[in-house]
Amino acid sequence: MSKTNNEYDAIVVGSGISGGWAAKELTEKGLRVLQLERGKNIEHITDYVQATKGPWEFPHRGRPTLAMKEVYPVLKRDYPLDEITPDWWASDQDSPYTEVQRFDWFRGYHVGGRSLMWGRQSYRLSEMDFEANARDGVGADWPVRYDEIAPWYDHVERFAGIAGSQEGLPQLPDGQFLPAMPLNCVEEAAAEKLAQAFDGQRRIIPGRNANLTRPLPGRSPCQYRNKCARGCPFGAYFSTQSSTLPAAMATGLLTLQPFSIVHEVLFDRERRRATGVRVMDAVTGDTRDFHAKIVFLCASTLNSTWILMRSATDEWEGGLGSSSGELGHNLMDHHFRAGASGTMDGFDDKEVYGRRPTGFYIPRFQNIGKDKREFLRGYGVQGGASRSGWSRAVAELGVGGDFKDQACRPGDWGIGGTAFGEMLPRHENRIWIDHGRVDAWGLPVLAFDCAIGENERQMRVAMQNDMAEILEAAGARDVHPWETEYYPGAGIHEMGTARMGRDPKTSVLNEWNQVWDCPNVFVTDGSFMASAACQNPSLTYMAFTARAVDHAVGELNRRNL
Amino acid sequence: MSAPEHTLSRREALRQVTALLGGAALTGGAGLLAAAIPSAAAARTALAMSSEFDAGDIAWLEEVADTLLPETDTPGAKAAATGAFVALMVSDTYTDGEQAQFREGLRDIEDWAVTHHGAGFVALSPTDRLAVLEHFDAEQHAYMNAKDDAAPKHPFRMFKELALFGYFTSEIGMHQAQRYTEVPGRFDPCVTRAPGDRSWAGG
Repeated sequence: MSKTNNEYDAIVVGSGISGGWAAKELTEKGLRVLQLERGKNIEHITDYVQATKGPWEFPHRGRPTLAMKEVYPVLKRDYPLDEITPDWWASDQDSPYTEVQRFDWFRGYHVGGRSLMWGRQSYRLSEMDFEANARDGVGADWPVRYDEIAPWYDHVERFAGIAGSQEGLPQLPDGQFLPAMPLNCVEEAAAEKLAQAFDGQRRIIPGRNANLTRPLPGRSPCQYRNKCARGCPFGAYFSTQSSTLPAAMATGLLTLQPFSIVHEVLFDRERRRATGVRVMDAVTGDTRDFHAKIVFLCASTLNSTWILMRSATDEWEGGLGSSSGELGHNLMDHHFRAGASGTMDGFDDKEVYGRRPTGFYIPRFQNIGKDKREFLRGYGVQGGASRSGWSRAVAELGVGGDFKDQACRPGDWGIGGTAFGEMLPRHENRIWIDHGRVDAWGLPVLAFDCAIGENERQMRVAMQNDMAEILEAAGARDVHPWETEYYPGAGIHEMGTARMGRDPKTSVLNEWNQVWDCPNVFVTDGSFMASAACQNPSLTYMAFTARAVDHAVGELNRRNL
Repeated sequence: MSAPEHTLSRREALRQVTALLGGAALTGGAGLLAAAIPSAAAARTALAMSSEFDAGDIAWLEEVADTLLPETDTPGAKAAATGAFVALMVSDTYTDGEQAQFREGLRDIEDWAVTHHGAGFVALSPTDRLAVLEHFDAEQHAYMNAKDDAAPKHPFRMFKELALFGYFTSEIGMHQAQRYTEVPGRFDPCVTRAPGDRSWAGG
């Protein structure tokens, strides 16, 4: 193999939301890019083999079987395990991990990563969020403020296509939105009553989601099938396959290489720079080095940190970026599954047409203005109103023809939602390498020790009480607050473990997502998050990735890398 | 086949709840009584005794499902092969303990049909079939509303859940019992529906 075949301008590790953006931005700036993906390829549209099937086309109508649960002992803990796309989630058998405390780690090891299965809710962080750590004396101060990232939110929203409404809320900044997917008539009525009851402090707004309500180049608007997580044959939601990969491929500068597990970043001790990465072929087990001027780690929050921990260990025992003592620490998720539900009367003659792939959102209102709480930070609520269908009949008394005919017709309108709450960064919530156990490729696995704390527990009580109060104010009856079991990771918003900061002694990355100890390595997936805020994080990864690429290319041109 | 412990605890719980509610009907008692009657004993032997559901079991399940969800102005459960679906789901998604409870519940239905209506379920008139299911439905409804969360489900609730799920997610159930379109093409947030319009099925 000639050396030139292994040399690129930039290497991007991972092909999910962050990796897709890195490859697009780097190639569009003229760099020759090698994008490495540990898993198989999934071709846009042609590999979405389940996309248009009705439930009757699955033997168990989509539900997992006992045999599947044996194969997926972790994935079975939650909704991702179904009969429809089990092979779009990482194999628990091949990729085990160690849990000192339960951590639900649901991974997508294939081209596109979790951009194919994500929930598509897309919200900006606000000035309040970037200031929070400094204000509260928690964790490390974000080295970035809102006005610095705002233009990059604009940039990624225009390309990704985010449906949303302009609301003028300082805690949830507006953006470059396509028309929102509207509230239905019951949600609209609830929103009006709620706004009056709390003088606009608590509001129901349309969810902001990465589904198109207008066409974008090469992509059709949403057809309201709500089968997004199977892959969209219309390209109507943002994914690597629908959006960033075609853009990067169009430059002619991208080489996408599946089945390539990055073993480590190669570190030149003399130059204090990375020279490339060592890659293991996931099928043959052969290793091969690839070289580049810059490396973007976008392997997903915990996987990028895992790679760093395996890199430059002859220089730093804990790996590249460990000199601060914070690599692997400050693991966060959004804690959720606490809220309330109720019934809305007065809309018996109303229904909706089409299956809207989003719901409503209640922006954070706690610890804002006069709303002071015992806990720090806060939560937003994702919910919706819909008419009950046949499933309500399961718990009703009845058999026979009349029972069946009733079950064929819609029942009451239900309304409800779950809060998504901020989890504070805490040093003791961490991952490390468990050298006593290896995965299917012989790599020592990650170990997890992470739990929510008192701040989150207090918030969970408020999530239920506040939401019940909101629904009652919105006109609901039979309001029930509820909470179900939550373990970190279940939000599938894992963040932190390589936080950015202002000081190399207390953070892994600088304000441009560069590893302090090796500035030509950039980490732009959720690992960099210095705090979690309460907004769904993917849009923020997109914006920071694009900003980091812009900086990286500028630094290359200035010959600083 | 000996009854596993969890089945006994379910039945014990059932007795307690039924007694609590002042109900006269004790399913377990009826089952024991039926075992003493030769025809009922024969029915028990014929029904659902194997580890897998055989063709006879499935045919029986089709009739029970079709009584729960009969043909009206839309096809009934049998037309959607709901019994076969129930059998598949029990075999492939229920734990061994749940399967044993389910099978025991089926035997109870058959026993009750023989004891109280003089013949096995399939041989009964539509009116008598409905009466049998009304009995078990009332029993499950009372039990499920009173039981602890941790206590097992009533077998007839298991059946009802699977039969409704199977019927309404079948091609018939989606397209005829409900309205369904694979590609709606637009979202209309507020439509006035005519009285009697069927539900829009989820995807």
